[in-house]
Amino acid sequence: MTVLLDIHNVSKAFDQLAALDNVSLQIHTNEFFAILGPSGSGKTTLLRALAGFESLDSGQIVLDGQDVADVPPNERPVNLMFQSYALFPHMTVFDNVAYGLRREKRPQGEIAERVTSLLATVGLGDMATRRTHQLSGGQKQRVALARAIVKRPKILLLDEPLSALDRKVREDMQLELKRLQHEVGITFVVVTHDQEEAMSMADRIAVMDQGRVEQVATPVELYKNPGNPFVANFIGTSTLLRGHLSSGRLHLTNGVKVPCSLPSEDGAEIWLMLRPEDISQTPAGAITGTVISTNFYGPNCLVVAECGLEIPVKYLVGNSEVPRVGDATKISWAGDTGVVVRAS
Amino acid sequence: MTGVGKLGWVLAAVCFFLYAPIAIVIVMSFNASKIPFQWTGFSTKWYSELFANASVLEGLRNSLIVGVSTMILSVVLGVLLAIGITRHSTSSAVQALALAPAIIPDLALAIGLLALFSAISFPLGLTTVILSHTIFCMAFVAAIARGRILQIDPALEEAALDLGDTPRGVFFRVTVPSLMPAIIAGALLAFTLSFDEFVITFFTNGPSTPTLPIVIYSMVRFGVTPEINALASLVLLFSVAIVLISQRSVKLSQSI
Ligand SMILES: Nc1ncnc2c1ncn2[C@@H]1O[C@H](COP(=O)(O)OP(=O)(O)OP(=O)(O)O)[C@@H](O)[C@H]1O
Ligand SMILES: [Mg+2]
Repeated sequence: MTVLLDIHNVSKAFDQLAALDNVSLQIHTNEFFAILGPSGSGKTTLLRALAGFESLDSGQIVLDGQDVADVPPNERPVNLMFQSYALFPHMTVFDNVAYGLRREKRPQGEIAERVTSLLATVGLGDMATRRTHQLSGGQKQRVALARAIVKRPKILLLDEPLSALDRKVREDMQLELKRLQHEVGITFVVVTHDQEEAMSMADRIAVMDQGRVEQVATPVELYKNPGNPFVANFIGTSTLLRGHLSSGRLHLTNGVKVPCSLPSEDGAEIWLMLRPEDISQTPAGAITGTVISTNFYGPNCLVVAECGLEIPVKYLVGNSEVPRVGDATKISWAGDTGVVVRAS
Repeated sequence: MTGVGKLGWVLAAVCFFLYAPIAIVIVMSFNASKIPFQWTGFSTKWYSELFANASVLEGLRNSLIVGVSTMILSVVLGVLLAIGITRHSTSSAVQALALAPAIIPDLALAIGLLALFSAISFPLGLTTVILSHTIFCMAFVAAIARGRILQIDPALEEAALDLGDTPRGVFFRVTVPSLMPAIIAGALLAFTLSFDEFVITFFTNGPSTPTLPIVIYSMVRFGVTPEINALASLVLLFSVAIVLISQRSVKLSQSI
């Protein structure tokens, strides 16, 4: 695997506020890479820095072996698909997509051929002469995608490409993005705050918070082995219990002891991360509590219960055992389930 | 009678004072008699006399030169000014200062300009009138363009740059077309403001190049003749046409 983009100790502050705080990332050729983080975590700032729209306070961005610090946006071999799409309202769909190729002074014939075939690929073959305001949200998104991809950049940057779409269209587009990436063989860097989207599309994900990269890993690895409490909390649903281990039990800060026989040095402060599927509701359960909410999914139901463990516990039950809010409940988990997470 | 009824009277009075003078001017311009308010029959002779009147034609020519030059200058400068104050400055003082000429009283501006031109011994004539008109028309154009710039997505220009266009290319291919409705509206406004501007012109013009409003003013000093009614009617027709065109083109370019 060759490193295509090397982001090295990049920092950027907007009047005191660190939007990017010593960010280091390596993105590989032909990778589908996602940057995931809550609002304000610096995702857009990072993408704009890659495209050349933000100057760095410190650090380097090395693209294909070349430091791009002094390369202006119009000369960088990357293209950005804007969150707002930024389609040119005074041009047709065709002219929007052809814009980049015309600036390269490509022959007319080649431009027409490439634009037409790409429009067909994204399913807009018969929309070439439309104005952009005559398009639906999903169609605009495809035009923006086609416009950014048509120049065959080394890296395609996408800022929340699907956030403006409704759920159904979004799911279709996720598959389509994936398919398109295979077809054109371009490295994709997608920014999103939707973890399901990142998990379902990306080869690897960087989780960001407050301008820092918290963890870079594959979706499975992120889910199974979160590197720190933030990631454990942010990715998927979990119950994070904080305490220290001693003789096969986790001592919570409020004095309660719960089972945990996972290997870890005694006495160190850790977080025990339990996924909802790790916890079972059973009459033999040693931990008792009260149901405070239920969230029905169809095949199963997520129950949130207050069990005196400092934070509510979240667990799954089958759809025939759904408790009511206010019911007493008994739960348990095996001492070797869950994951030990340490503060990074 | 309810409040609405009383307001009806106010409305009627407003309409009367708004439209009666216009109606009088138009009707009288077709009156065969030279004596005002004495209808002796329909005639278009005042219109033909008008077009034979050398000083009127001279004034019209000067006004067109001033109007078109002012329009071009104030559109170019006003749009650039608007871009400067919205995109490259966060100071509200700069914005206020830039748009001030639109609200400074004409008289103050006129006296100031006259003082300036005489201080630097700049010969008064159409050039000084064009410069003076541009000063305040530019501020109107900038105000209109500023509103439009604030509406358009700054990402449009970044997108064009991202697609490999040069900053100059982005300006002409994306910025200017996005501002087109404001540019058209600003141009027509600048032209109409300049075309019938009197006070500033009166102060900053030389004696040998009267504009149309000044020609009319000197004619009116000897009483309102039917010829002037005809002239006023034409100016009115012309202005209404410009307003209609501008509304049309703004609608058109907003729909693209
Ligand atoms: N031009 C700017 N001037 C000042 N502060 C900025 C600017 N751009 C971003 N910021 C700040 O930097 C931080 C990171 O912003 P950024 O837009 O990168 O977040 P984000 O992760 O993309 O969030 P979202 O998911 O809401 O889009 C935020 O606190 C934001 O307020
Ligand atoms: Mg963002």
